[in-house]
Amino acid sequence: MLMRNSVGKSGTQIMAWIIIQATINGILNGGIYALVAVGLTIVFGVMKMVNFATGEFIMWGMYFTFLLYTITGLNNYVLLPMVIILTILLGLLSYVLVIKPVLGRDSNTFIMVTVGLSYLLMNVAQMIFGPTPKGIPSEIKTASLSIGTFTVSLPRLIAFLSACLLIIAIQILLKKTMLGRAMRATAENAEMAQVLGINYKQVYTFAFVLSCVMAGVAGTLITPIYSIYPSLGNIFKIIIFVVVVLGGMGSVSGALIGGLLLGIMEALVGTLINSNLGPAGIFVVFLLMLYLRPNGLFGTANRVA
Amino acid sequence: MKKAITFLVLVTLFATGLVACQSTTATPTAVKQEMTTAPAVQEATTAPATEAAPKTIKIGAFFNYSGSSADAGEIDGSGAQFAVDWINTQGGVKSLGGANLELVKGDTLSDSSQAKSVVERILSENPDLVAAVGAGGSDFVLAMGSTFEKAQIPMTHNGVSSKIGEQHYKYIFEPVPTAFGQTQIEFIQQMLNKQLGMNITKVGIIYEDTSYGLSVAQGDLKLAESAGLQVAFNQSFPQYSSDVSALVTNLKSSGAQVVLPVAFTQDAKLIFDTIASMNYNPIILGGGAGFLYPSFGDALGDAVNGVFSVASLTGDEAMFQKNSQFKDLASEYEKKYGYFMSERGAGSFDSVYLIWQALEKCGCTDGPTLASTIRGLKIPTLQPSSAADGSVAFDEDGRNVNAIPIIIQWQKWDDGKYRPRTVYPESMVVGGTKVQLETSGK
Repeated sequence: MLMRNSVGKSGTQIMAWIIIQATINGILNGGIYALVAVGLTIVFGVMKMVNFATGEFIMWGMYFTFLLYTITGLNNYVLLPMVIILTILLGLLSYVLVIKPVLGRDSNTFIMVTVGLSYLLMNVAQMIFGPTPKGIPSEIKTASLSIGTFTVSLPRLIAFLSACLLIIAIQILLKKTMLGRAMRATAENAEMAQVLGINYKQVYTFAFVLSCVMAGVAGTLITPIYSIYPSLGNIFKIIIFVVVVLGGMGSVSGALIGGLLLGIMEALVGTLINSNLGPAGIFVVFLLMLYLRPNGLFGTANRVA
Repeated sequence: MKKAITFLVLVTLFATGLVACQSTTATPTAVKQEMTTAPAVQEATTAPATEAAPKTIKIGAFFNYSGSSADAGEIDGSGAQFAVDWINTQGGVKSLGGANLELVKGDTLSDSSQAKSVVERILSENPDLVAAVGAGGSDFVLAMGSTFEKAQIPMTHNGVSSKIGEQHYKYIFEPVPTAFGQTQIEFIQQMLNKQLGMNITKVGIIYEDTSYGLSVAQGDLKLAESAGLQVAFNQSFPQYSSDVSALVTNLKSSGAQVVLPVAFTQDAKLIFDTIASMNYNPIILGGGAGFLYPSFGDALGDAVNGVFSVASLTGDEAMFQKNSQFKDLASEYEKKYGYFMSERGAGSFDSVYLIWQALEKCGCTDGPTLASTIRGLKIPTLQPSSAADGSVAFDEDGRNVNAIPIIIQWQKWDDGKYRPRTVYPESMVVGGTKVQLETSGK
């Protein structure tokens, strides 16, 4: 890396280029991580439970997009509203059949049930669509913007900007609407919220379905980047948990900052040291955060009195 | 008291079940013996065995029918099943009274750590299993090889890691070549530089961190350096990555003119798209695997046109040169399964075909004799061969020493679809196929 390249640039110039390009890549990837983590943080924030099937809802969002593309021939961005409708239906079905029966039980039950749900969703996808990876043609999948010698991948930029917009929208929902207040009240204390006239079960339903929709939207937005296959959710599973814990469990804006931080760290470590160590870089940040701020960047400590 | 009795009953049932399973796996059959090392393989005899001919001959098919590599497993399985169906329509094993072949599927779950126990279970459930084909990749062959050795059941496979031959197995046969790296470097030197005058001096090697990836990459590295090419970048990456931009950033800054990636489909697409999106236009010379699957072509669409890769074989006209009975195979396969006969499908076909030919020759189902017969076979198969008659030739370690890799290029065929076509070595090129440089590396 200290050699001159074919156009006579010095080692320092090459290194500077690598660091800046890696940072750009990291920010864009971080946006994707934030996008896929938002759903998980909503469920945890309101229901205080971890949904291990989040990755599979992302995968199903992609398959819904593929199905609708096969029927209509429209590109993935145009299909977003229809994917949202289908994901709402899938989320409702999952909630009624799998989640609602275990409400009120301990968190271990919820973990086991959502792990089971993830396997069910994966295997149903394989049964219906087969194991062969699918793809949706996209005119922009390899498109990029050039800023001098730096490139910005267009699909990733769109995913990043969408993540920012969605997070702003959810913040508005939480802070400025009655429903949002009900969600925050339920997140603080479900029993007290019930005493105050809030139907916490309806809030739970809404939160779970909203998280599925966020995952489904993430899936649609990343179809130009990834092949669609039944076990795709696994490549995001660990990362989204780290993002959520890093940002503060239940904090939507924390998910964005956490995602960006992890994306940049992964890209810099992967580029400057070794791509195999990129994921290790994520966990170093994670462990440091748990040591310095166990509640995450924007998480708050629980009341003790 | 009730709970204690229930507990005791459950423990007793569990212990009984454990003992029963142990008995099943440990019970030797009339054919197989439990030994700690593989016995010497018997010399093949030309006289058929005197055992009664079975009506059906079972062949185990150990592939990844589920899990993250199920796409490859589907292709593997379809090639093997197609071979069985084709052989049965030819009349089955005539020297064994026309016995039909039957595949017994063993799903290795895309997890090589499970492969051994899957094989053991299938063998215990099917004590009349005569041979096996596989596998999900070289890691899987390495995991299950010792089980076949102990059971004295020959297995033919399409793994390409040189590590498999280094185990000196007597019952494991590798009809496909392993010298992928050598062919890739020769292609750069002989075709791209000498014939087409491209002046390639720098290459970049990126590979998934598996036995297969490491094996191909190590070959590439050693040979590139000895051929005078500068290896400007050389790094592995985790399989099923969510992002490869770090890798491609370094590749681009290294100035590599040819990239030698080794990856399966999902990573192959991600690498290709990331390279394209970073306005970097090297020639891509894939290391096989994901760069050969039908789904790779589907995922890339028109952009696949011109991509090169090394391969064991592919389903074009070059595959049928030495044996005209195969000439309609590719079209029949594509009609049946809806995708072209790729390297994996053809490799699985060959694996079953070799077992069939050995069964015909020895007229027996005895493991050691069958293994010896496979080793002695000198017949043309789908696998491109250095022999004038296209035949295989297995050495003591089960390697097909006549097998030669080829270089394919994705090109548009007459029906408008993109499929791989053999472009190197020239001895394997058929019908005036040429390298298309104007479309490569885009």
